[in-house]
Amino acid sequence: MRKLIPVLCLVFSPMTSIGQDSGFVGEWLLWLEQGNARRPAYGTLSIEPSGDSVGIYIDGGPVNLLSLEGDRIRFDFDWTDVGDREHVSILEGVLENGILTGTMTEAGEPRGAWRATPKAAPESPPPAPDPVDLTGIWGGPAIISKFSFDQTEAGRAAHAAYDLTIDDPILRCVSDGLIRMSHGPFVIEVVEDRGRIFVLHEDLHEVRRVYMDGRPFPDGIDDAQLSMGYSLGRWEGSTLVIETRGLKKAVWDAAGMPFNAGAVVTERWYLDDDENLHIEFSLSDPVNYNRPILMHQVRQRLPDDSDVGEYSCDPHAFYRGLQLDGRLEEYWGRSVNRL
Amino acid sequence: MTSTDCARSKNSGLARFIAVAMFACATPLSAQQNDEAFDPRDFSGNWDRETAIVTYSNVPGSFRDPVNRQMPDQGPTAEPPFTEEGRRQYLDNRPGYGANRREFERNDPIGRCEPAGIPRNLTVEIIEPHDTFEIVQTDDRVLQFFEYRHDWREIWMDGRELPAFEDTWPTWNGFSVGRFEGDTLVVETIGFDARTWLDKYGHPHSEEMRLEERYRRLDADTLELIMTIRDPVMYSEPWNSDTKIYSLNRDRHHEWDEQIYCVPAEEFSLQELFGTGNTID
Repeated sequence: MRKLIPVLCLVFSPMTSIGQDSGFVGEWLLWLEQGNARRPAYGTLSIEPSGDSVGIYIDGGPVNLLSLEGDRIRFDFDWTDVGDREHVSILEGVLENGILTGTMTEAGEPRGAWRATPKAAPESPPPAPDPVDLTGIWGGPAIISKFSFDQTEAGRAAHAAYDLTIDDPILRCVSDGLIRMSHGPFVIEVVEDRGRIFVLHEDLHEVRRVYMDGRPFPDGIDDAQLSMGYSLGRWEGSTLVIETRGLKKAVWDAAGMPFNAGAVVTERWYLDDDENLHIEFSLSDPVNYNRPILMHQVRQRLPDDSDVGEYSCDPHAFYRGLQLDGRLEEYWGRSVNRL
Repeated sequence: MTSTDCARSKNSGLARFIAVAMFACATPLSAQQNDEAFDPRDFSGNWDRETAIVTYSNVPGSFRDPVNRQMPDQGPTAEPPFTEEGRRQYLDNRPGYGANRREFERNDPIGRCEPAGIPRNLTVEIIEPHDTFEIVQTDDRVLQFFEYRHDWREIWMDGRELPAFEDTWPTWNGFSVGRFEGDTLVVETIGFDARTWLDKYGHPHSEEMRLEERYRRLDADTLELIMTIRDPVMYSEPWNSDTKIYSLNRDRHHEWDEQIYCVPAEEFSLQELFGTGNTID
C-alpha cells in the first residue's frame, strides 16, 4: 500500500482548479467517528490556496482531492488502524454554516461519519497571560493515524531503513520519546510545582518537565539527545504554549516515521467549553519533511482518584522471540539503527 | 571541606565530577549543621547523592577513577542475612560489580535498560550529574522523579492503608504509602516485581519484599534515608541499609541535563546471556 500512495498522488494531484476564496480554505479540526469506535479520533485538516488551486492535507500529509463542486467536497484519506493495517477511505461532505459534515466509506462500504470545525488562528500579538488550571488526570487520546507524509529524500530513506519488527524501542521497553508517547492511548497526569509543569506519563512511566519561568533554551540544546526534550512553556491568554527542542533522533509513530535531532515541537494546550483538554501539536523537521506534521488530540478529564498506573512492559518476550526466530545476530548487527 | 563547600564543588563542572569520583564528599554531613531555617516536613527539591555507597547496604561504591580509569578497591562486603534461597539467587545473578562480580556472562537488568525499580532508584548509582532525584510534594502525595529512564514514583500521603498483598500485582516501583512520625517521613511499600535487583551487586528480592524507608531532613541542605527490607524468601531477618545522605542542589533547576536516557549495552549483556546457551524466561 505504501508504494501505491505516490502513484495515486500522480493520478489525483492534491491541486485542482478551485477559487482561492472558497469557504473550504482554512485550518479545520477533523473529527472521525468510525462505526465501531467508542469515541471520535481527531486530526488537523488543512485546505490551502495555491495559485488558482488548493491543496488538502491531513495532519500535514497530503491527501487527494477527488471533487469539489459548490458546497460539496470529496477526498481520500490514508490511515492505519490499531492493528497497523493500512486503509484508504473516501471522505465526502458538505459545507454548511461554516462546518463540514459527511460520511466516510472504504471500497464503497460505510465506515462512519466525519466533521470538521474551523480552528482559530493564534492571536497576533499574543494575548496577556490568563492561566487556567490544567492539573489533574487526563484520559488517553484517539488520533487518526495518517501514514503518508510529504517526506524529503532523506526522510524516505530513513523510513525505509527502519524495521519496526526489530528497531522499535518499545519492543525493548525503552522510551519511545515525547512525540509518540504523547499520542498513544495512555493516561497522563499534569502536576504544577514551583515554576514548572510536570507531565506524568503512564506510557513507559516517564516524567516530562516544562519550565515556565521564562528561561531561554540553553546553548547547544539541539545536541542534547533527550528522549523527552527540553521544554519551555508560556501562557498566551488561557492557552499554554510549549516549545520543545533537544530531542534525540527517533520515530514519532508506530509505523516508524522518523525525525532528527534538531526537530522543533510546538504545542498549544487549551480547554474547550466542555472542559476537555485539546493539544495541538506541530513537529518541524525539515531534514525529513517538506511540511510540518500537525496533530490534534483531545483528552477528557478523569476523576482525581483515577489510577495513572505503572506501565507494564516485558523486554524478555522480545529477546526471547528473537532467539526463537534465529534473529539475534541480525539484531546485534543493526545496533546502528538502535533508537 | 564543609558541607556547603562540598555542595558547591559538586556544582562546578569538572571539579564536581572529580569531587564525587574521588569520594571527597563522603564526609558525613550531619556533623556540620546548616543553621538556615527550614520546614522539616518539606522534602521538595533536587537531592544529590553524597554517600559513596551506591549499593543497598554498607558496601563501598565503585566509581571509576576518572583520570586513571581504574576501579578503586571494593573493600569488604558485609554478608546480608541470606536465606538459603536468597544466597542461591544471589550467586545465580551475574553482576558487573561486587564480590560476585563476573568478568563475562553479566545479566544486570540495567544493561538492557530495564527499569531499576525501588529501592535501586534511590541509591542513584548512576554517575553525576545524574546521581540525583527530585521530590515534589502535592496535597496528597510525595512524588519522586528519577534520572534513569525519567521514572517517577508516587507515595500516597492521604492516610490510606497499604493494600493487602493478595490485592497487589508485581510492579517495578511497588505501591507506597507514607506517614509522618514526628518529622520523619516513613514510607511503606509492597507489590514488587522480583526481576529487579536491589543494587548493582546483584542482591535479590522476591515479590514478597516489604520495604520501609525513613526520610529525615537533618538541616536545610541535608536529607537522610535509612531503609529496611523484610523479605522472608530471601533474607532471614530484616536487613537495614546504611545511612544514605543527600544534599539539596539549589541550582539544579538551572541545569538542562537533568534527564538521562538509556542506550542499552544490550549487545554485551545479551550476547553473554545467550552465549552460554541460556534462555530467558
